[in-house]
Amino acid sequence: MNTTFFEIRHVSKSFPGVKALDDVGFSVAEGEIRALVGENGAGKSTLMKILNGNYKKDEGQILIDGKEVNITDPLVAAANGISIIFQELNLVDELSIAENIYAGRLAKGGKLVDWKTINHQAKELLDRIGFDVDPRTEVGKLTVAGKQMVEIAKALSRDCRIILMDEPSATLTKNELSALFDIIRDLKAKGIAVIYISHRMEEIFEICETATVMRDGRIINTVKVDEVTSDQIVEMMVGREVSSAYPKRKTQPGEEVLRVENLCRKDRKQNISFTLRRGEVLGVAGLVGAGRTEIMRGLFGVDYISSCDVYIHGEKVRINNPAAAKKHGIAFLTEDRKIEGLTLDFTIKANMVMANLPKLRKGLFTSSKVENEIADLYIEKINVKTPSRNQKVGNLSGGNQQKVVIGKWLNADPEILIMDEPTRGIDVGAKREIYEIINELAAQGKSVILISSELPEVLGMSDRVLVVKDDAIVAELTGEDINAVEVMRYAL
Amino acid sequence: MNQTAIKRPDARSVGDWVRNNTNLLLMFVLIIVGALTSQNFFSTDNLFNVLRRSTVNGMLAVACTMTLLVGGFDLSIGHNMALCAVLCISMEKSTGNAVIGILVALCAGLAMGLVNGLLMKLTRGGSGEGFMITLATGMMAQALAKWYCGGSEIIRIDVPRELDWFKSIGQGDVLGFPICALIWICVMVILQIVIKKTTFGRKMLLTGANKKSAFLSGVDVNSVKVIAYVVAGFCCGIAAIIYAARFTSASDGAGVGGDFNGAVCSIIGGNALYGGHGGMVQVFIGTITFGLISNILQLLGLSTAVQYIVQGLILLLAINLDNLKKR
Repeated sequence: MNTTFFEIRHVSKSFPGVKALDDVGFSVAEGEIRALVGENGAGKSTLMKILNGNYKKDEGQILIDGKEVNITDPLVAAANGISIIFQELNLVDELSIAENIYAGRLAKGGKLVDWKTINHQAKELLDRIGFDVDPRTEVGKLTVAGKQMVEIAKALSRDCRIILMDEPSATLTKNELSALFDIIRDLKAKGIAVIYISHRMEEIFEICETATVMRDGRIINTVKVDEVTSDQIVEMMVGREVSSAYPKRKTQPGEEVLRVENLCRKDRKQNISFTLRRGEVLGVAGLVGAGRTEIMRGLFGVDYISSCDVYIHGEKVRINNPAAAKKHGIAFLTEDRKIEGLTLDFTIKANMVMANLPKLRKGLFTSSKVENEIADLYIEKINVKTPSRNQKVGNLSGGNQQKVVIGKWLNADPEILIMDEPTRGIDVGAKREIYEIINELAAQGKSVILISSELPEVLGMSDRVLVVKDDAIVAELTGEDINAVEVMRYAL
Repeated sequence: MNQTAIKRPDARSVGDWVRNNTNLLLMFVLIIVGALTSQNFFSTDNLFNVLRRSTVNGMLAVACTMTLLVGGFDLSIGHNMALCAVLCISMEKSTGNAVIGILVALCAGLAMGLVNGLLMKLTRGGSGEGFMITLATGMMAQALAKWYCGGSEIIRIDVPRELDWFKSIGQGDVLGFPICALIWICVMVILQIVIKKTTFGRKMLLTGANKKSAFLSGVDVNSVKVIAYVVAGFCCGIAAIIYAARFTSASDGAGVGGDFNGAVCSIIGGNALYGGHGGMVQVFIGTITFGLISNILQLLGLSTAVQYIVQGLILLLAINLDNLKKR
């Protein structure tokens, strides 16, 4: 054990106009759990795609057991014992777990597929990682955590020696995450190395032994996790010192702007009621799947709700589609920014103006001058990093895309902003900027509903916290009660 | 995140320009090929002839493009046109009033578009549903036309002399320029302005590019689709009037292949198959390209079978170019 078997040396990769990887090299020992951290755009994904054979490296070597391997496609990667679990899992929802695990390698008895053997082998693999489920279950019926287990089983079935996991925790609940950690420790005991990519420091400190920090396509340092603090790692990532993660607000919430009573979704019996005050940040906590997003989608008129009384400034309003919600000054920054929040192959300016098209109108026609002005205003105001307002949004990094979504809604001049996981998958620097934008909005007298799976974020940002469990609000916490223990007590 | 990590869109090379304008280049290549193959090619007669012959396809391409832009598809445009043309001529004959014929054709087209649009709204459909829905409504439109004209051609005879102006819509010209082409170009200019310079046009493109994000930004995507289909239907009505005026006859078979020609013209010109990108400039380029291909092949004296094969190849080329651009 603990012998180095996997090494990359001097790997570089350029795309037109950018050096994505610059002389990257590190090595991993058997059974090592290595964190790979870096801001978005640091080069982690490029590195992964090179290891998986999706991209061809320009220079450098990849060595396994001291021998150079030439990874030309994902099959070669798998044959060399490299398994990568991407954030967008590579599974076919319509097929069974066993079929997914053995896709392309189905055992045959004679001419026909030998399902008995396959299901039996799959069951053994699933048992090995402690996932108790019938291998004939359709993958589409599993939770995200379950799908991740299937991916791990698939990796094991190929006798892999090193597994790369790309932000596996982004969509997992706390319990699922600790189950995942148990599996990772188990893999370690079997001598399998794990490269764990994550933005979340607490996870890295819990599970990883060493951490490799990347910035701007380069390796900054590889450190032993127990010899550094999380602030030190973050500093290495961003290249500057960071102050406390959650900036403080000076303002106090004012009068009530929104009151929701008896919100009731189809097939659900719970009646949901809550209020929101002017200049307030209302946190909504709860486990993934508890129904936080669904409540807000109902309020915004996206999904059908069977009944709901909404009062804005004490006046009863009827919201049955997003256009109506927008008219009453509500904005909704969805969890899924790529599909629901943005039109990726349109330019920044086209996305910035889409929630408030009438503003473009001068007489009968739209004015491109006004459009440019709006785009420039918000690019500057919320610091979108882009060379031009004509840049396609799809080419921006996650953090900058999220800023475009924020700009888009600010342009609609809402009073109430519902933000669903506004910082998911974006880097530390951009996160902080988004927190500051939230505080500025509150200072301007706008109200924010903040849904987040990152508990510290909800705790750090909110004036008041609602805890959602099983499609109902089970607690409302204020002041001293806003702490992790209280929230989890209600959420679990 | 450093600035260089983002590809600069301003820094355009010649290669990029060629890539973005393949459809335009294809048209110019054909013009050069035409000039080389026939001495008559550059005569005004021949060029106006190409234009005149292209207008019915061109109007259908306009109709098809309206539905493509919002992320739909319209296969009923050909048969819609046939129905409108049959109604146009028979109404003119029976009432002795060409204006009534024209109005009936436009209304019929509009109604067909409305039916398509409402069915799209009902099914919350995309281009796949649009394909099937309009295949069905197209079949019904052809059946209606067949039933109406009793299976035989309706010929525009025995109409009073005063109504001869109707024929000039399809056959006449102003200062040598074909009237039907003028109508076609006017419709395209108006729609291009709507698409590029109005909030409705913006809503169309947003709906076509990403229905979900448009809906969540407060765009009433279903109404936008209905209106786009209604406009498409109206354009079929205009196509029918030009057709009726040009051929002075119509039958239920008038629109056979019209839907495909419309789609081919639209796609060859560079309109995206799945919505959100394109416009009437592309329709113009595509229609002229399509017209030139037929014209050149005719000048070369090749059979219609060969013409179909070449048209098919050009369509395949256009679709591949569309995908190559995305790489």
